[in-house]
Amino acid sequence: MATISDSRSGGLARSVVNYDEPPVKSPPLLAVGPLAWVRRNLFHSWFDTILTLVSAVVIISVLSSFVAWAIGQANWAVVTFNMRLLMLGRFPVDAEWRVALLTAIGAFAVGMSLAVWLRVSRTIVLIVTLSLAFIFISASLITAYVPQSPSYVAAGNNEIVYSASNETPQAQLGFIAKAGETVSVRMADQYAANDPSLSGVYGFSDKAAALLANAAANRLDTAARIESFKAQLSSDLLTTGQRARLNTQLAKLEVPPAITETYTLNQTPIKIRILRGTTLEALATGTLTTGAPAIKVTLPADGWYVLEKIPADSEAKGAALLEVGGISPILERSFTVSGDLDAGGNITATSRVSQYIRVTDNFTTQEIRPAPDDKNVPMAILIDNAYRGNHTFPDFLRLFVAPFFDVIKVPLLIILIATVIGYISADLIDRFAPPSQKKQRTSRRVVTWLLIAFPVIMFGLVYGVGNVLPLTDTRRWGGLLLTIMLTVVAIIASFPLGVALALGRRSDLPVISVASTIYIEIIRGVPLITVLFMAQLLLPLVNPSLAEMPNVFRAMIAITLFNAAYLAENVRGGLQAIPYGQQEAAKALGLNSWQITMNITLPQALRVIFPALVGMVISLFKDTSLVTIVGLLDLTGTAQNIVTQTEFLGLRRETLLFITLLYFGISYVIAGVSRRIETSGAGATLLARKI
Amino acid sequence: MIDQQQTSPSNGEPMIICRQINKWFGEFHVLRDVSVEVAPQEVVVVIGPSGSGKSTFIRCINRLEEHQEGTIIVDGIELGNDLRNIAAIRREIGMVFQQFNLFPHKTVLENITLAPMKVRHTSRDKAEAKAKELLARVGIPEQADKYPGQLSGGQQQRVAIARALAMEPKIMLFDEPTSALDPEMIKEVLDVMKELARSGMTMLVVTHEMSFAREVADRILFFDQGRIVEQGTPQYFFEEAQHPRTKLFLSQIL
Amino acid sequence: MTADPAPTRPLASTPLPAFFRDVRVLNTIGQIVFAVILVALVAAVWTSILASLRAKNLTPNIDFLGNRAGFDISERPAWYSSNNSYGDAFRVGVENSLRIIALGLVLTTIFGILGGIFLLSSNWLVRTITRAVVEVLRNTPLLVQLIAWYFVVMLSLPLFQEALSVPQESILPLSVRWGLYLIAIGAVWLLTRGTLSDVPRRALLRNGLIAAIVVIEIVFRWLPGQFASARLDNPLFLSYLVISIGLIAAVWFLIHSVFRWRLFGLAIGQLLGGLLFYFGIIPNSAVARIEVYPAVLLSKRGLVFPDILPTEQFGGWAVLMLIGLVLAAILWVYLGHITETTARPTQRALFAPLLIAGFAIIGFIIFSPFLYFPPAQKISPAGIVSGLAHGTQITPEYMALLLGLVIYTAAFIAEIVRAGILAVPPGQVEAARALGLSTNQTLGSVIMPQALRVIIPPLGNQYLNLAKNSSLAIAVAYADLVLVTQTVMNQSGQSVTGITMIMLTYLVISLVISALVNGVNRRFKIVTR
Repeated sequence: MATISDSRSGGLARSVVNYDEPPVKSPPLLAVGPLAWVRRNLFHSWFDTILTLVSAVVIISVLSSFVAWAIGQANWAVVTFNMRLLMLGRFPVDAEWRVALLTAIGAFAVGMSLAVWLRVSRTIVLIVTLSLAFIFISASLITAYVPQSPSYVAAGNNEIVYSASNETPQAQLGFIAKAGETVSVRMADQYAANDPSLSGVYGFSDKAAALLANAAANRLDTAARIESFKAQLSSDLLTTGQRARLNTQLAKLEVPPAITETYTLNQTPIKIRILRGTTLEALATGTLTTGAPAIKVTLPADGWYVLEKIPADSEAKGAALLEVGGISPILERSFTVSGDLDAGGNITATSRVSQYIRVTDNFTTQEIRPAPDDKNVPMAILIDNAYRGNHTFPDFLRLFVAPFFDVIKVPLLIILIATVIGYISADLIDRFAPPSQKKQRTSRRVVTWLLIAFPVIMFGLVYGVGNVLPLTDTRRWGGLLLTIMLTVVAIIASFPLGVALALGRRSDLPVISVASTIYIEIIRGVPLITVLFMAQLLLPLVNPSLAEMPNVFRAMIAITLFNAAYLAENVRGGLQAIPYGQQEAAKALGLNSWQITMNITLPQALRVIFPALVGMVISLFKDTSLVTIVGLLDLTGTAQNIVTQTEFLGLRRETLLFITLLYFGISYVIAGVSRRIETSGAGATLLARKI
Repeated sequence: MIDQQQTSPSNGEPMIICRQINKWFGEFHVLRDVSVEVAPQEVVVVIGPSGSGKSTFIRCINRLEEHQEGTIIVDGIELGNDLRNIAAIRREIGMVFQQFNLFPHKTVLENITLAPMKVRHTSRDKAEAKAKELLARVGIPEQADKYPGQLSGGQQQRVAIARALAMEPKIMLFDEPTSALDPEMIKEVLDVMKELARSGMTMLVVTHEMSFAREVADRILFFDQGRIVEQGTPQYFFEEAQHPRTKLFLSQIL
Repeated sequence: MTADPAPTRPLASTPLPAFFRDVRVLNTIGQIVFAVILVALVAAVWTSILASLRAKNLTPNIDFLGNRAGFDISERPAWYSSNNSYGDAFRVGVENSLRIIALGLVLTTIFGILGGIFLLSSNWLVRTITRAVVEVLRNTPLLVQLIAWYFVVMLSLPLFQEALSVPQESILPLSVRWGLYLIAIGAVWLLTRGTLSDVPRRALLRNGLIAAIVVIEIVFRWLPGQFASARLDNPLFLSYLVISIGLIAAVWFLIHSVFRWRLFGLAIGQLLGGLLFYFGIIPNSAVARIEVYPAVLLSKRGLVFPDILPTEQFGGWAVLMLIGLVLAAILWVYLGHITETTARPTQRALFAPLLIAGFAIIGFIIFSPFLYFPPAQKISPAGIVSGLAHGTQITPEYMALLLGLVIYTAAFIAEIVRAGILAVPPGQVEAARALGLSTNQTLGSVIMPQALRVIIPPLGNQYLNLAKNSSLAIAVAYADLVLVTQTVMNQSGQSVTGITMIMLTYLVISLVISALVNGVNRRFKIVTR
């Protein structure tokens, strides 16, 4: 700042010239860079600062309590073990390959579309590959390296009573295991010392063991509550009513005697035998007392085993808490296999297959359950051997993450491989196609036809085709498969009707215009659910043949009729957006009105409404959930259904969260892809050229 | 340097004092060490090539843009982060925009009375009387009940001037007020501005109308690359400019 | 596709074309044919439906509406019982639907506008959280959300006996020191008002007062009372004194910026507060003890508002309130007059309500004007279900449906509001700012009126969606129009009549909403040349 030659004297007579060049400085620290960003976006004013702090506290507490719940309390097994129901419903096992094939074709088409319209960036490829690798590797790593927590089972002759429940420890426990695994049994002395330690039992425990621990926990809890009530009563800030209520509650409370002493826990020796399930030969025997070393045995083969635990002295009173390594709860699952078609094309009787699955690693056996005393042995099933307390993080990984990844890894791999093949083959097709001026001409044609044919392929594969593929029972359609079927069929079927209605409403002929308008406005004025009810109740009355129509098809008709009205309004909006000059020009060229519509106005209108169409697809995808109300088991209906299973009773949060993620993920991906298509302009050309 | 400027003679306390203003848009240095004082009743015209920072400069004076370094003092009030200072300064300064920015959902009268009633808490009667007076002053008394969309560009800009004057500002800022107008409407707006200047209003005008600058300005500031390159009386500026960039600019536009 | 090569056509030279080539004739015939086919189709469907119904002896009629319904409705007005007719049951269903729709429309508008403003917040955290929530809400089915609201949120509320209550039942001691705070705040406000550029004094006094009050409240809340022993040789007290003085010195010597005086005020204030507490200058004695009872109870049974009835002393309280109201009105007019004459803004919107509230609270303490029925004692849990003797209940079904509909629709409205506000040119905001309008005034007088003309048409669509989506009540077993009519249809077999009645009702609701929205829309049209 050197030379301002100020020569103003007696007012402004001359001028000030500034020859000096102030340097171009970099902005101050707080004007650019991350600090500036933080200041501008988070702490711009005192109000902003308060807002930031409040929302940070809210979001952190919400997220942390969610994570604590998801890891510590949630039981994700409900999702893992019902994955098949959620995806396919009760679709016959022997027809599963059709869905796999359909998925592969779909992924192939997606891969080709990506290659033709939206080149995939390297980052996305890397991310997808890495996540798949992560899923594959971590499932095996977790199973291999995260130790499985022990189970706790009770033994003894005493009935264990707590509150309204009572349970006598079972003498035998059936479980499944792989060859080479080790089972070890010892007294759980670390929990038997006193009530505080007993209440700390966590992990899988059978009903009797859980009762022991609950009784101990309850005793401590009662003592604590009495203390807290007394403390509250000592305050002088209580209303009369509050004081009376506290006194009533206090009078009801009584501390029971110590549980460890009542049941003389771990004082009685227990005789242990481990039997092979098929032959019932004893692999190991021994007697356990407090402080005795664990009885260990390495198992010879895959399949069923039985753990026998009876007091050495059959007259002895008391109970024992055993810590068992190597036993996990199992689930029984039965599948329906549809029979062959008889001569008339009808499905013959279906048969059922039972499977036993270990919850910790999806180890499955179809070996028949042992019956030592001509009675089926009590199984270590999930509902009787429930997890007690909050899950530790290793247990969360071992119990939920590994089995979940295990279930989804193969389908994901199929999808990925098919997508990659589709992506590559788009290039190959162009390479071997006759040379053309336009790049990718052949592949564009192929993929367009593939996309147009996809709904037909889908319907053919899932439903069956005459004598080539046996028909499937539509009542067995369910889960995501049904949701997607409903969406795709309704969109395809409502397209011709919707376009016709739109053209009809814009028609110069009053009869047609009025009829279309009445239809559109009535449908748009009533909820979808009434249309669904109408299809359920009135269609059977129209014609006896319609009465035999499967429920699914009736729902499809209803959704199609409903969606057509909305589609018509979208198309009409698009038609209105086309300048009138376009029609005039076409008329001047001598095209008739049909030609004008099909070649000039409609293609342009569809291009204009592309975003609206994508929005309609998404809302249709969501609206299909309403078929739940008319009794179909789509994704939402299945989710509602599986929480009524005894093993997973009431686990609604986990299930709803999972299907919410599915719905959200699919809708969001559709919306995201459509945004990219809009910006790249590829979708517009597709629609303008082909539809 | 600063002392020198402060002691420079002027009639009374300066109305606007800018000292060493620096501003960046991201990494781009828009205003570089800009120091200016404007005396009461002075009409200062700011000219310069586009992108030279002249609009940014006058928008800093009523804090439509935030300067990052330096001091701006308007009528004795320092422009900082204090909300009340900003509000007080905005009450003192009227501004007219290139795109008029009239409120399309309000009539001309409502446009003019909105701020006096909401900010100065004037009663409706007084505000409307004042508005009608101002409309007469800018020459469109008959348009009071029309909506801005029904007026021509020149009329809209005159309404915008009346709207700014309704707050009885001590200073008026004009940001290229005639740039969005058709040629035949420029004159009517300039006439209003000339009348305003004659009435003794302190004005800071960014414009490309050299004839206006020559006729009305007490002082002309020439901006280039974010700094004041040269300043002086119109006579001197148009006849004997010293700085090569000023000469180049003048040779291109005159 | 290209146009077919047109064959050379003869020029139409005859004034009247043959009838089979006359456009008008062809159009007319086409329409007649279309109409005939349509009518025939509808007639065929209708007759076959009638035939099958007649075969089941269920010819559609509306006389059955007079028959005894014979079923109870979980959500019903007092007059309805299972002895009422089907028609009455239908009426209850319609009323229940309208209750949801009407309140839903109001609430969803409020939440939607709030959401839209949050989406545009300059605060990144608020903006991002809102964006995430809106995206999740918009991209998942409403049915799933309703199930979550009902089965997850409502049913995990505590039992009625352990209901969450606001405010919590307790005795609230009114301390003398709160009066002192009020006096101190008033004094500081008087001392510092109007000192626009006198930053140090203002910051010192205000921050000092805030810090002192906060410190005193914290020590009274968390420290045992006997701590205030006022002994000078208490080591804890001495160390606190040393640390505080060190802090003051540090602020004074180390901080040289706009924050200096503010932090200095905070540091001095907290020391002052600590000393006042320690030497027992600030009393902890209570002037009055107010019994506080819950006004709202939230539990698995929904929201319960217990009855609050006036006592005999209500009259005294009412007189005091009246005096407060009159004084507030006088203050309102007087302050308005000051603003008018001196153009100085006064905060009458703050002081007048404060005056009223002050009189209300003082009257409350003197008279205890209300009698309260604690629901846990006066209403047995069974009593709540069978009828509300001493309170008003909002069922969990109603709450779940209302919350689900409101929040789902609000997510869409938020997006609409955001787009509408973004559609207002930025120059409008600049002009408003340049005129000196505050942020709220800019939003209310300039942005919103212009944004509304963009917002209202899609907003109307969302209103229609909310009304139609209320039919999902069936998922949470709320006895709305559809659920009740479904029961009626199942019992009477009159499915055609039932469905027609449902559809007609929804059509009427849709028409009314459309008409209202169009009426409002006309008011926001912008006049142009």
